[in-house]
Amino acid sequence: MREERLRELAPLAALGLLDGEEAAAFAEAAARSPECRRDLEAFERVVGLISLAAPPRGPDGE
Amino acid sequence: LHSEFDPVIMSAGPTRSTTTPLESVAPTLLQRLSGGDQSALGEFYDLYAGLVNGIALRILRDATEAEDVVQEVFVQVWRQAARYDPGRGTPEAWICTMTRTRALDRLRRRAARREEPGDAAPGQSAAPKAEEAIAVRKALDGLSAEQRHALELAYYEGLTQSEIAKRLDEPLGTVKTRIRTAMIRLREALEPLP
Repeated sequence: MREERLRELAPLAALGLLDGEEAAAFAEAAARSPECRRDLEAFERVVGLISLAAPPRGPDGE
Repeated sequence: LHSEFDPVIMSAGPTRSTTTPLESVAPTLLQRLSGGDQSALGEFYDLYAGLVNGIALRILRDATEAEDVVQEVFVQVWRQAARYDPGRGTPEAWICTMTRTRALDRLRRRAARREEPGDAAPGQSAAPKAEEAIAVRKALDGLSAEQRHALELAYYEGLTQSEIAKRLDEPLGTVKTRIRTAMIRLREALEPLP
């Protein structure tokens, strides 16, 4: 997979949405590329922040 | 120190400069925890139990199960504090990830058992840091309805990309792009936050 394409996986990786080949390819990219790691960290931060906006919902939704 | 804010999370707000920032307290607590200091666990719990409970409750919509997740997460914090790597994100992100993972595991087990969710007990969770919460909500509001919906299915229901595509009756590529675009927009919008 090309580097650019791999970096595009960072937001999905932060959400835990990757599996199989993609997950392995991304993990490998993150291990060798500081940019990739920075992206992952930035998106993991976003994932953490989203939870701040989440008042618990009742059983019937919003 | 905690007086103006929710006791659980205290660093937000206009008086940030005069309070001890959470981000400087938590790593120290984690260091103490990894050294086996039990009193640090209590302090860590006071800081984050509300946040953890809020996320678990939002995902599970069941007060008892959310409490179980809180217990599990803090046991995990105690056991794995030494593994926390500041280079990989803030303590808050670390504990949020742990909470989401555990809550989503339960959600999946529940789905596997074909159980209906129990009664939710909203309201008792900690108010998150007010300013940040407002900023995040605003950022989420800035997304298109489609982007938000796809993101919510991933975030709160723990669906896989394929499951989201199926649920929305959209091609997988569209779903991926939507979630990726949503995350990029959120990242840009939330960049200024501390």
